[in-house]
Amino acid sequence: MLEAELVKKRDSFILDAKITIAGNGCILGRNGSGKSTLLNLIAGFLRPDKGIIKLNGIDITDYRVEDRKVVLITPSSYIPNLDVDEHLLWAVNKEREYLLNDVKLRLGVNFSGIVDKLSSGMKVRIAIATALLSDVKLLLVDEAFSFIDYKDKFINVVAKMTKELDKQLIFATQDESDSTFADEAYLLKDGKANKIK
Amino acid sequence: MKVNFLAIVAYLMLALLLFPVLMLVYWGLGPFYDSIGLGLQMQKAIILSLLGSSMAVLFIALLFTPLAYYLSRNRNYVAETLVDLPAMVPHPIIGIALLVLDSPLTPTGRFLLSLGVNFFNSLSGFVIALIIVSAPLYIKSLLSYFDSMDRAPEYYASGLGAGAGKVFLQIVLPRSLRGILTASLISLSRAMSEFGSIAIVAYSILNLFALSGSTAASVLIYQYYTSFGLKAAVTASAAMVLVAIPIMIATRILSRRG
Repeated sequence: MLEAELVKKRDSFILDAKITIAGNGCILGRNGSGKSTLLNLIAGFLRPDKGIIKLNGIDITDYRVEDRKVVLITPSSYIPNLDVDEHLLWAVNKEREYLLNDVKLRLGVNFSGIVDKLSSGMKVRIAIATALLSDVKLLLVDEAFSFIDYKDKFINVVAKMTKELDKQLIFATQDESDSTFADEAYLLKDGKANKIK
Repeated sequence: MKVNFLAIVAYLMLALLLFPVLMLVYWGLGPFYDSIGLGLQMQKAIILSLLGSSMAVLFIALLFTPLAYYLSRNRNYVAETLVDLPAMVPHPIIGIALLVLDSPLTPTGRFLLSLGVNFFNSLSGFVIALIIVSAPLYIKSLLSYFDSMDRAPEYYASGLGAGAGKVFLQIVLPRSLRGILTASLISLSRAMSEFGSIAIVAYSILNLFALSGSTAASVLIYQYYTSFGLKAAVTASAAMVLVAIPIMIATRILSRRG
């Protein structure tokens, strides 16, 4: 469960948002609405001017990025120099290693090669599969699903798998129809978050 | 035909920059040729300069790559200004500083001498002087390279639980070989052209096998100028230029290929 109450001023833009998401969540908003700022704050790459972030009841506001168990996935989030299997096992939780083939099958990772040379959609599949096999508790996906073929099916599978693996998925998108795959959804507009689902 | 005036001006400026060097090569190997300038002493000096500069660049890359990365990811303008300091002061000052550091009159010098470390007229003093004067250019060049890198892979890796060291070694370094090579090239050029600091701390390198008693090329050219006059110095300078150019071109091609 993610609880965040955050204020961040960036030039003339002010993000002042409060969200509470228990299941898988969707952050909807247009370009410039503050989606990426919000996700970067939760992931720890930006410091809030004011506020608190709780993950499963633990205050992680001042945690270092590597200790938060929160991963931010954008279309460029991958480790370029590894091949597919090395990438998938790069941060694997040893107790989950046996799930490798299952994760590959369900997420459509049926290709090989050096990750940097693959298509954007393949990279996103690998980035998400790697996160599912790791210790991470919260996957923040920032506009990365749009690179996937058969996006709806893929989001559905990822949403299901995060629950099975005791993780949480929150994804930011401009496409309102994507919110059908989330348990809860917020609309971000001019830095303010309103619950719409 | 459309004339590109900017290109004409650009190439004219390049020619202006290269003109003195081309003249030097022409006069040094042509009308002003003096066999002393290409003699065994000069050959040894060039080898010493290449050896010392290469060693310095190797140490610089090993020691200062993490600093350049750290400064890129954690902006600290005071530290960045301090990095420039050795390049900003007149270089004889670096030579004098090394002499003070290693003097039997100072505690640091007594300590270093007790370990058998002697900078004066030694290979270690020569290489350390080159490291100090050439490192700022390396750090600045690599810092710009790190600044221009997409950080998403680093963010992703740290989100997966990787600490700063693992991110640096496994994510950043493999993607930085071109930047490191280019920064090394710039640093190598700087080291090979150094005069001020080594003229003080390592005027002549003692105890270096076949190179014992040799002097760095830049210092020897100055010696020739003061001892034998312009002709020997011009010929020796032309030789140094001819050695430097292929190295620079080769490394540039390598760095472009990544």
